[in-house]
Amino acid sequence: MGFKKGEEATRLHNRLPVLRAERGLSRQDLADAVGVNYQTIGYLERGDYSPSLELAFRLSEFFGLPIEAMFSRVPFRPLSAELYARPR
Amino acid sequence: MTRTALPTLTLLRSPRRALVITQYALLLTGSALVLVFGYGNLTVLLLFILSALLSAVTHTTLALSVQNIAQARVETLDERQRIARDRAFAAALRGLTVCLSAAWGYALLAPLLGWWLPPAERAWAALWGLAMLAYSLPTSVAAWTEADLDRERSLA
Repeated sequence: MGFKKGEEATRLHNRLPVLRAERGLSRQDLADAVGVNYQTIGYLERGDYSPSLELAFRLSEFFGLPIEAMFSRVPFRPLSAELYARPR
Repeated sequence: MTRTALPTLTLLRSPRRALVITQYALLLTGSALVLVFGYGNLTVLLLFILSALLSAVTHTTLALSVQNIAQARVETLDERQRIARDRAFAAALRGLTVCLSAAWGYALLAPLLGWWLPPAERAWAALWGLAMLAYSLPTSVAAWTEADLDRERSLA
């Protein structure tokens, strides 16, 4: 169940793969923590599925981050660029 | 959430689609045998049972490959799986309506145009095929439409 034509505009970008890797979690670990199937974590990470507000809040609470730090309607800049970019 | 041992090959969409086609080829073969020859002939009966069994095995493999989202209890599914299940049932209902309408149209036109029609008792026997179609379509739609699934539960 992925996005179809015309749904591309509603696709959400996310930082789930980075956040999960930083914490050394498997998809199954994260899935168990937020109460979904581990395949759904894969769908979320690939951007093939946009979470409900409830699931977004559960993820936000689990990672201890605001929702806008995890999901965005526009592509995220790499974290390294955001943290270490030198002003020009 | 539901955990099942996924057959590795069927994690990919293209093998799943091949299995869906195989399943309905077997179902069609079994139904056609009954429609044309009836249950009277032992060879036909054995071939019918074989095609039905193979079709059932194919269906079970497909159901496992998509974590049985079409037949599982709703409480065991997460929000994405419930949406996938709803879409699969909606598409299956449309598909079943098309198949039933086509069969009805054929039965209506056949006497007028001199096309072949099976005797009534064989047509009733072949309803088995329609029942299996109705049961299996949601799972088949889910198997056809679900993206390539993730193999690992590890850190990758």
